[in-house]
Amino acid sequence: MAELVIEQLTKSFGGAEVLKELSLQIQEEEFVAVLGPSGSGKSTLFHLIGGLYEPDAGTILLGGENINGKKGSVSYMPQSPSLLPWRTVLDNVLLGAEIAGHKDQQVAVKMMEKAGLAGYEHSYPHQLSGGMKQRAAFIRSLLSPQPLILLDEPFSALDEFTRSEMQKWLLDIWQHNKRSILFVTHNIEEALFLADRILVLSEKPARVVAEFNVGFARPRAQDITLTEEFLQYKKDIYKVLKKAAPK
Amino acid sequence: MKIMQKGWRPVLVLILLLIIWQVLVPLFEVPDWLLPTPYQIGLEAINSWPNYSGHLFATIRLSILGFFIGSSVGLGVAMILHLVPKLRETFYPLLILSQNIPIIVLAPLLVIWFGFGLLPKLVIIILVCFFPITIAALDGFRQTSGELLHYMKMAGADRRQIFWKLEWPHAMPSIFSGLKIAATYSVMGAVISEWLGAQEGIGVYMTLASSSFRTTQVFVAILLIMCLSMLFFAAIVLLEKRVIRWKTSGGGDANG
Repeated sequence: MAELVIEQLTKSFGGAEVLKELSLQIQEEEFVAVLGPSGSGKSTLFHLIGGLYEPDAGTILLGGENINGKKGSVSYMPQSPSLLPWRTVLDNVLLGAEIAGHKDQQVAVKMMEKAGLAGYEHSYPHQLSGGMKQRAAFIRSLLSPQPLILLDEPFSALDEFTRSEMQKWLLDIWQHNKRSILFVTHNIEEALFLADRILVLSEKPARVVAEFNVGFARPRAQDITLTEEFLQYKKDIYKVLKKAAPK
Repeated sequence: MKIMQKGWRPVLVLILLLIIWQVLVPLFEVPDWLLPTPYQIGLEAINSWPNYSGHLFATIRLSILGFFIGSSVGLGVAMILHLVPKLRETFYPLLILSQNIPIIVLAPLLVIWFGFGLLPKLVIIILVCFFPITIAALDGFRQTSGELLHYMKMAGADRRQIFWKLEWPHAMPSIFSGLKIAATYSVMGAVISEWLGAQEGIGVYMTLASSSFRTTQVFVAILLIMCLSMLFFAAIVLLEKRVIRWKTSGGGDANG
């Protein structure tokens, strides 16, 4: 059974259509990346799934339940780490679970250890590096009880080196803590390296114009990015994206 | 240690000013009852301790009580106005208007309404204390980082969770700024309220001294008020350091 089913989702703001009849599905424990030109309504899609707004038309089903306009049904990791500066790292990673109503400190400590944040439990966010903050933010979303995690360009603010480190780290930790993931990015390589499936969005009003099944076996090593197959995918996606973007 | 390193400049200037004062008064042959020298004031402060100690403690009690009630009222008002935007729109301008009424004018009225007891005095201190706290707390609540607010909403936090987990701790530094101002104001408010007619207090001591041209004692009263204000201020700073440990001196932000 599909975890997340979005059907014919339409939303406009002040007369401008942002999403038009957008449909997509995410299976259980599937990693789906959404690629799109900037300003293609990716964040609107997230806000609708997160329940900040009601869609004008269409439905969002999570595990068979309609979550239109229902907050707190999914777990979320934003572009900036958004850690609360007055909380220790441990209290920060527990925040998502705390909002949902049940937190488990021991699980959090163990998870931090696995994520390479051992010893930083009682530090404050300003004492962490950019990559470590993002790790903490991802653990926070993993520790939330929701079955689907939305990742909103989580590594776009990091430098290239930290970014590829973080991608490997993300795959590794996800391999051991499977969830359904919807990952928004505008980086083709990142999407190819991480995702099972890639959805390409069109320019506004956004809908899904192409879908790629990425066949690389897991666990993935960094060197798949150098294979012929990887390059071929990249070319294909680039072509579609170019068509989707305005001239 | 830090205060010692940074504090020597103002202390030096203060000492210099006192020396100039001490030298100029005898030089221009200013009579005592017009302007005493710092030395005379210091001597008076030490010698007449038994005379004013009762007054001093009365003022300390009054200002602390007024400060606590005033800050609680201030925080309460800020929370209500913040959580009900309609009320904020309605009452925010009135709040500012309330500060345009001179306390000196209001004080006799309060005596007419409430008599000479504790109540009118507390009302004055509360009136001067609550405003800086309300404004500071309201600003602190409203300036909550949009990024963090967005995360909290996406994570499904309800209004109560957003307030207690995000807006309240975020406003803490602002609230402490308000508390610092209110703490010093509370001493001033207490002295003004004592002018109206009280049995004891620095305000009473000051009125008695000035009406009998004991200028040195007036200066002692001023000295006491200054010391008291600084003491209150320092107490709040100390409390702030204990409560807000996450603030970096370098000012780290949420992104880094």
